[in-house]
Amino acid sequence: MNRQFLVNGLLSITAVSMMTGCVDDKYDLNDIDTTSRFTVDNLTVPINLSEIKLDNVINLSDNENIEKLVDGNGNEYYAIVKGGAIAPTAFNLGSIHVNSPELKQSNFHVSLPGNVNVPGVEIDLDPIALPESPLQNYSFDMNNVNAALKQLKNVKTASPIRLEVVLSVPQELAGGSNRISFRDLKIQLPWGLMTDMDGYDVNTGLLSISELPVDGAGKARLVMDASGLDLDDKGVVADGHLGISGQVGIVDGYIKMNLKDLALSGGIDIKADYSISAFDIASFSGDIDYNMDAIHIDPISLSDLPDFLDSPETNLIIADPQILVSIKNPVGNRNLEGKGRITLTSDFKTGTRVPYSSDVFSLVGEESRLAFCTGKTGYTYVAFDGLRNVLSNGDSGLPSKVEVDIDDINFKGYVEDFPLGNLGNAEGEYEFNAPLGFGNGSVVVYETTEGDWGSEDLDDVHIRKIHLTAKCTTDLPVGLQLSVVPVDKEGNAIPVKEDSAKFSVPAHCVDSDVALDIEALDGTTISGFDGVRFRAVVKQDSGNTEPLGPNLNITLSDLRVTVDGYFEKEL
Amino acid sequence: MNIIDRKLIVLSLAAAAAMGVSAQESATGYFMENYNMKWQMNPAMGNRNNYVGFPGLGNLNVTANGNISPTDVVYPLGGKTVLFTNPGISAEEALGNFKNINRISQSAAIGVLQAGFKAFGGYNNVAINVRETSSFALPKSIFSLVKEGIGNKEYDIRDLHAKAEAYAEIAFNHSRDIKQVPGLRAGVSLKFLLPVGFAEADFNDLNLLLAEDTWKARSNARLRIGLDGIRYKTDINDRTGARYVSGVDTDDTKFGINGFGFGIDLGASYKWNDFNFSLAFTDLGAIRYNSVQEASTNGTKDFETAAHPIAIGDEGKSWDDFVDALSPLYELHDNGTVSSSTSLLGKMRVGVDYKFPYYDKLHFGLMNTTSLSSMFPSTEFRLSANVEPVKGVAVSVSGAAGTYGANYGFLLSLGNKGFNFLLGMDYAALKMDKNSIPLTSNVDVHLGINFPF
Repeated sequence: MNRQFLVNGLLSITAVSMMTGCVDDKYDLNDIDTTSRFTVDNLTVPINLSEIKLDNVINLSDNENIEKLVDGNGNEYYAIVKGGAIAPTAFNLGSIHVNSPELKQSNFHVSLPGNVNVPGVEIDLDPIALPESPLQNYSFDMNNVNAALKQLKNVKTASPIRLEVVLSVPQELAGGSNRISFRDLKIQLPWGLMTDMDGYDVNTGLLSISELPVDGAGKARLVMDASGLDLDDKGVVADGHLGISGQVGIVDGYIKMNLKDLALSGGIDIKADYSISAFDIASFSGDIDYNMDAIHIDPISLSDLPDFLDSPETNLIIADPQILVSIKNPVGNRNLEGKGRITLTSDFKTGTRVPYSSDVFSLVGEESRLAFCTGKTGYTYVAFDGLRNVLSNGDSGLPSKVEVDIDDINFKGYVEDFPLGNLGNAEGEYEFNAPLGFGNGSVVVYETTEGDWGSEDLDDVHIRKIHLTAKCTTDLPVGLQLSVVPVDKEGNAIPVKEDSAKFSVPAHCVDSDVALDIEALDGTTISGFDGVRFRAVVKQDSGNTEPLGPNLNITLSDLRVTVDGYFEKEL
Repeated sequence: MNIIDRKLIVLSLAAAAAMGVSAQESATGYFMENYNMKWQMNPAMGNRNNYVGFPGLGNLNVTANGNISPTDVVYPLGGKTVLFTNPGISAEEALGNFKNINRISQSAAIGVLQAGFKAFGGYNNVAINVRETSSFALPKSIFSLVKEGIGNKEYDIRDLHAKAEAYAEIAFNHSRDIKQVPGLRAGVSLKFLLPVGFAEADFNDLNLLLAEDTWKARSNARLRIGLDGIRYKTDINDRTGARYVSGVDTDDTKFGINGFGFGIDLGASYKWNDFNFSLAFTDLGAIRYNSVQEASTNGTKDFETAAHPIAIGDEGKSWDDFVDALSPLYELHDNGTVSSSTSLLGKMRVGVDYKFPYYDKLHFGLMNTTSLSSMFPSTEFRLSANVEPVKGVAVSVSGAAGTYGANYGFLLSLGNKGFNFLLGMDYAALKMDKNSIPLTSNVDVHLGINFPF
């Protein structure tokens, strides 16, 4: 063999070996595209959830409108509870003042039989009849009488009505040894005076006095006090006015004179003065028909309801609403019964206002406890058929507020010695209680978007399908339909296959199969999502009005989530 | 040392897949007459001249081996270079290039001082070397998990190992002909090892069973770092109260001697006619590290999702319990300072050299090198042709096939007395990218400057 050949060959191979780097320019390790895809291949994730209490899902502990109450069996339940004070509203009949009537002086002349000259001799004249004198009219005018006063049978005054009749004889007849008196007087006074004076006829007003002596000043004074007026059937008030009228004057009588050392001729002039004091009516007996101003209670604000009740699509028919009212009757101690009704006016965000009124209730006694639409020990039941609809108006959602009024308040009847003036206030407390039990036809829609996840890693996630299955056991009294839709950064729903992404849970179900599919449209993936939008619809059509409570539970067993997709990113 | 970030050094020792610093001696030169460092592969081999090596450059070897290469991880696609995880690369294509156990190792040997001389009836070598090795084993299941995606399967990711080690070696070699058996030559090298540091991470058990009704996870891991002065940082898990390793404190790290080791090489050769048979066992021994920080899961830890239900509305308590139950799988406990011994990565070499009868300057050799490590086993057959037409010019070329694939190498030795220069590669079939970055994981360079006399 050719040694040189071998040597040259080996040297050549060596030379080639030393330059043996073979360059493959398809590779560039200085510039590697690190885009990588990490696949999740129909991965089923077993999720073990313990029993879910409704209290864990709905956090109502900070909501001022929702409370946990306890029923008769010791079970807790949620209720919308609003309450407050019923503002004081006065029962006021005002006052009645009667001015003193104007009465003029009347004069009459008594003729003597011949001349009377009795110097130093006592002469006992026979009684001389008083001449007729015209009676004069008087009137008691009661103005601005409260419209509630319909007919006054009698009125009593705050202080006595004082009547004075003064009969005056000439001064020279009085005094000394002379003795003058009026006898068998019949004086016409106002009728109806309530007085203890003997000889007064309340019906006619005629006062008979057997003897009224004249004093040393020549005056025969009659004073009579009356505590009120007995108006019988003449006390009808019309247009706030009641006028009582009649006549006063001397009707009949005699004057008896026993004179000494006196010379008279012709006759004597007698003057009669009358006065009746003004008076204020303190109380009355009669018919009253008092309409109290409507009591406006602070509206029930529903602006802070939990989110799940706040949708405009929510139509909530309350299964067992209740209103409890405790109201003080300011005239209950005077046996005057009142009546009224409670009206709730729902003010919806659309501008619609819908009133609902209860049946008429009675206010009996000094305090009345009323239970509307429910029975409760110690309370009087009052029907209120519309109460269950007070939060419902089709598709307007819940009202933003509910105005509460107690109106059509009326006190009517016959009263005795019923005082005028401000007799006190109607006031009290109310409580609106709506257990969250849904009547048939109720729809609660809750839609929320959990978004703004804003993660850069999410931008790189691409999902073909999410499949969720579970067995659901629940004692919720209402059925639930839940739909889930992914949303992008702008909050727009990302299109998925129709009729996917929703599942239903029937009420009171045991091991009910639940399945949810969120599947991208054919040939696409769910990408660029930034959150999910949940829409829960609760419908009540089973008639089960059991209210929601914190201890109601949902159990999802055998929960499996299967995900198919990938994460693609430049590392 | 103060300038250098100690953490970086420590972590580098424990990190994966650095490209080579230095390597074992040239296998291509095993049969070369003028290769002074053959005794490191077979202590029975002597040299014809005395020599002194150039300090630091007398014997510089850099090697990286692996049964996966960069072209198993990156691919050309559409004019770009992409990762195997790119969606344009199919799982079948990507996973077809990975082995059940994917190994990468690199080693370095720097001859600080070497000398060889004839004395005591034979040939003697003295050398001070610094050696460093790093090895990694990655099971295919990791790549499968990444590429094929996660599904309801079982993922067994055990046999995930990494190891790095650095030590200084003072070697004394003597070889001689055995007069009693003509043709027989024997040699022994005694190596006193001064360990600097080592790091070892083992996932003895890492299993994920992702069934549809429950997921189970199991782990058993251990981390050991043998570097004087190094400590683990620990924190306390606020909820479980468990103290776990949260980092490494390198402030007191001293790169000094951390123990002692001993190795022995045994070798023999037998010349019979034109054949020369050789057998050697090298790097038999162990190193004991005095200060090794061990952290582990303290046995196998299990977790099952079915045992930890999640509750809604409990302010995250059940989720915290879930996470707490997971924590033993990944929280390592500081087991303190232990001492530890590690075996050297022994090798067995069997060779036969045949002198070409028609040209005595040419001879052919066939050698098998087998790693004796159970953690990183490998074997290689190498056929070489060696010629020294004139003294001072020697060339060897070789072809190899084995665990790390097929390749060829060369070694060139220039100079006989006075000056000798060596340059070679055992894995010369380099494929490089457009920037001359190697695309193979089997790369080595052997360089030596010696002064024979």
